Amino acid sequence: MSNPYQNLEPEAFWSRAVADVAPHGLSNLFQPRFSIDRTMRVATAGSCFAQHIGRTLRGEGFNLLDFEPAPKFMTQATLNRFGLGMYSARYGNIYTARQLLQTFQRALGQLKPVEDVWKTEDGRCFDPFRPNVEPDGFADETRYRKDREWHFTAVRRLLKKADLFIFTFGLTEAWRDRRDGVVFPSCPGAIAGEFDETKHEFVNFSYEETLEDFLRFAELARSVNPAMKFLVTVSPVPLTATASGDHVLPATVYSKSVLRAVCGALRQRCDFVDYFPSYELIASHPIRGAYYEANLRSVAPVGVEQVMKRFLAALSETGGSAEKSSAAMSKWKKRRQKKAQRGASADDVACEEEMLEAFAEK
Amino acid sequence: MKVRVAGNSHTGALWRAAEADPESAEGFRVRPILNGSVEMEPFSHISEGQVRLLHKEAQERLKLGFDLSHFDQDAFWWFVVGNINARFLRDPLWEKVSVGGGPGREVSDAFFRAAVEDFLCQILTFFDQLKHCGVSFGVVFAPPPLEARWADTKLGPARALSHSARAWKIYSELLDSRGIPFIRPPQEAFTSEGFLNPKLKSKRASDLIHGNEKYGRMMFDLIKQRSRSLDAEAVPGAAD
Repeated sequence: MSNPYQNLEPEAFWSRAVADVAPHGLSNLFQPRFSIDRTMRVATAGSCFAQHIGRTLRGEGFNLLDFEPAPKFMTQATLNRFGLGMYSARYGNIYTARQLLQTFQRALGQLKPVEDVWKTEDGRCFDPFRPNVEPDGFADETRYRKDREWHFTAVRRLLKKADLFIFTFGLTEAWRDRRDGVVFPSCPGAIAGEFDETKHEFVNFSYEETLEDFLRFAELARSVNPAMKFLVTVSPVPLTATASGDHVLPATVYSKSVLRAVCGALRQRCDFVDYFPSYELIASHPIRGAYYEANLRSVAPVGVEQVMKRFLAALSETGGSAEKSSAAMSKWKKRRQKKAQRGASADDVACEEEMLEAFAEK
Repeated sequence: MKVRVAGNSHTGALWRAAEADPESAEGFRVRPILNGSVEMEPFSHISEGQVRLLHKEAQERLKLGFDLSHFDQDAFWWFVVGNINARFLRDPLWEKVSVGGGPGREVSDAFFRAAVEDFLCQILTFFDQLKHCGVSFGVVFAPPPLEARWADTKLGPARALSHSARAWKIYSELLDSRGIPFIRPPQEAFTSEGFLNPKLKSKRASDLIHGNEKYGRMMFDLIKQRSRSLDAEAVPGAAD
């Protein structure tokens, strides 16, 4: 007598795929449904954990888009302080699907929030939707609006150019404006602005809302760029705090469960969406918390490394993509060499001559 | 007081000026020992209580030029480092940055300051090391940008001039805040717009960033003048 389980691969069975395997040994969790290689123009957005994905892909020679680049000599600390080099545009962390949708709606002129600037007493201005990108705020409203317009142009270019959009879902909880339903990335008053309970309210998005928001975002993105594909992940970083009234642990589990379920539904419904299980690789119980720091919240570097190793290994195993990647890699290397040659400009040659001259006569 | 002048390739013009008039250069020794690309990565460290160079080639130049393995406390040093008008401006970001409220990307003062600080990070570390080890020193600025260097480039002369002036102001503030004396090129080195006077450019046609011997003389005169005044003040310098 036969049954459908008889011919399944070992990874379909808990005993062989999980119970008998050390956390470091878990494998085949991600089998990409479409090829991702170095020729693809990749855009990233999401909660903090998404930065690791972007950084790894850039380091591995993937074509990671950055439409608001920083000077190449800037240190990582400065980049972080000004929200640069984190994602493909300077939108800062995007925690919820609603925030993602609204970011792109605003850039396309389809949404004009009631509250769109936070001013300090001395006239400095903060962007309510990117409060972290200028630590002291913008000098005045003109400069703020000019920077925001530049940012929106970058977001629109991203929509047109990206072949693959990687998004890491972070939270379901947010603070929104009662007047127009627009959500903020952080509670007004936390980084800048002022909390006013007549204007601001807490919201904890449901599965239906989150799914709907992402589907609307994907529809919007594909209306501009019909070939765009999406890779979604869930951040394994628990909530720092919850305003839901629940204990932070069940609040975290609610949030992550909703996000994980949404990712599952997106993958089932849309053949242009894939899911990478970074959440499972760090937060699931077979890992026994080994990839978290002592606070059980921050992901330890070894955890990030393990996740990204599996991600890259899976990409190189996709049918044909390894070969494509290799060809693309060689193209990429040539491009880099040319760029390096361009970087070593006539100024450098002149400098060398100037240096040598002083010693040539010795 | 013995005075030593060392630094990147912009030291070359000063060296030529000193070589051309050895009599007036008595007590001064001038040699280029670093270059612009070395300044972008860690190039110095403290070892056995002295500031030493990390790169073999720079060590050799320090030895050859000054017969030293470290920066000593027996002389006053002028360092020609922090060339923020060519290497800094070459980053493609600046090509799109707005100037004077014009079109382009808005870059806040905080952002610009952070960029300059990052660009000068290794040099500022070097200065802090020198101060820690009691070396008396000051800084000599590189020439301002030459208009021809930025003509027909994406950045363009107007942006080059604006960004350069903004960066120089920050560099001056960073030095002031550390109590480090510095020498900027004199008024006659500039055109009315603020570029390097073309008459002072390197004699090599392809070299659009360095000053010539005349420029070197102008700067060397300033160094001598400033060194004497520092000497008269018992060289409070940067090492107090």
